[in-house]
Amino acid sequence: MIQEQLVDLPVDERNAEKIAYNWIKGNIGNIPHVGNPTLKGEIWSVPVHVNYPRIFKDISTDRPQKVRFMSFKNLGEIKIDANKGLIIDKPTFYDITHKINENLNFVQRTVQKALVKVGANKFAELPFSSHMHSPMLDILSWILVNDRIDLSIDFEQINEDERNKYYQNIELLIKYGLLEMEGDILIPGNYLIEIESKDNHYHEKLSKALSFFFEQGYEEIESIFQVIGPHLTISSICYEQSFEFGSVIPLNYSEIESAFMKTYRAEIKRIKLPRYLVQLEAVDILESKTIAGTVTWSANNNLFNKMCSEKEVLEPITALIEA
Amino acid sequence: MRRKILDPMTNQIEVLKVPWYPQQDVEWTCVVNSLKMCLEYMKNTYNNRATREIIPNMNIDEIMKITHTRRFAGTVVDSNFVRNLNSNIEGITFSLEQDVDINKLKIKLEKGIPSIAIYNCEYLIYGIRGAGHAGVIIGVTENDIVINNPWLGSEYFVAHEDFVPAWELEFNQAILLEPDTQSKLGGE
Repeated sequence: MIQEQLVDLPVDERNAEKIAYNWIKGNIGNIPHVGNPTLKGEIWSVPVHVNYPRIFKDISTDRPQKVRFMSFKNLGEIKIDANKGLIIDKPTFYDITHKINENLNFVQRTVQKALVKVGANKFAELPFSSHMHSPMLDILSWILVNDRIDLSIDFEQINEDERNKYYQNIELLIKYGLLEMEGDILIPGNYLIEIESKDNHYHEKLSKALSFFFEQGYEEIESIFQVIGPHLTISSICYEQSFEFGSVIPLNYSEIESAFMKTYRAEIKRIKLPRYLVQLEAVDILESKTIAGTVTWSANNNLFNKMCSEKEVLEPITALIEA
Repeated sequence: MRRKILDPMTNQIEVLKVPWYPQQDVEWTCVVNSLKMCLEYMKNTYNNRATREIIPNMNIDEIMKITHTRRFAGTVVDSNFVRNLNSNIEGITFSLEQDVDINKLKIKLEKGIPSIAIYNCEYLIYGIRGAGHAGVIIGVTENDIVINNPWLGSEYFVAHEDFVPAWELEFNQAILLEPDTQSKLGGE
């Protein structure tokens, strides 16, 4: 309708903004907003930005405490004919929502990296039985117990998919100095030898090796996720909220459950959630407290402060949050 | 239909008794929650019995469905949105208008009818342009607008001079309600 009204009229900046605004509100939703139009030749380009809201609740009063906005810039561009006021190019709904999701995941992954780096020893203390199936644990345990792996013999009988998973993890362990490879033979790397020399029990050696990998290899967050996925997800829910809020903020069980189930949709994980929380408290990654009759879970204050001091790791998202 | 509250200067003022529905776990349902507040009020508190009897009870999920509210992006607010509301909700005629002024909202309030304003909440709080946000206008005084804000709380006072620029950024949009006891057979 507006486009028809503007036919034959030169479109000024405010008109261009309004055309883009109406298109966004009428096709994408109320959350994205327009940026400043720029004129290139006879085309107005209007960027689409999203300042994604995060609402923080005061558990003692059950009321909102603060709202903050994460700034995701230039998720799309609307191009408008400056003479006719017609939209000549635009992003799709999927483009925009996909990019919002990507940005939210990026924030989550970055917080996880910083958290794993500073909390490496605590994550490595989680009971091994609770770790997900992880080729990394298998390889480290094998090397600690049997001293060597001959790839041409020991991995010959397993299927190709499994073998590839093991090879990917072997590459990472070599990269961070926990393993060395001579031909087809894998042996302990210098750092693993150092770890072996200091501890007597295998579970301690394994825990130290994992801790070393988490601390040095925090950038390999996808591989780390395979080892401590649910624990990392839950702890990062608490630490990310606190990071976005600016200080440690307690969350109630239903908030954690709701966020956790967005990552793990399988109902079995809902049953396991309390156990994960208890285990995370046991290694001082989370703390539980009862506030106004409600059990809450929050980040460990010391670990949170350490995480926030990891400026280099958090740098890519600091501007998104502060904005 | 109205209740007395204290403004920031501790003067007693009257606002519509609109219930507040927060949206703390889901960030993109402010339009849905604002509609829920208005429907609850019109269904249970509004002073016209005939209207109250016609208006349906709708939960958040049902409102999300008829407004096509989607994850991350929120609600598409356009003529189709209004058409969907009008064909699915008996007892109220909804309209979406731009360039609405405060007086228009005031006239509605005098009749005991809340309106939903679309304004820029981030601009209001931080002075930065951000997401368009919906809130229910439940009172207007000489100094303040009183909003049931799904993000920030109930009976939220905003000074006129702060609200006006935040509303202008969203082209002074508002979803206006008009009680309608005529049954909308077959919708519009």
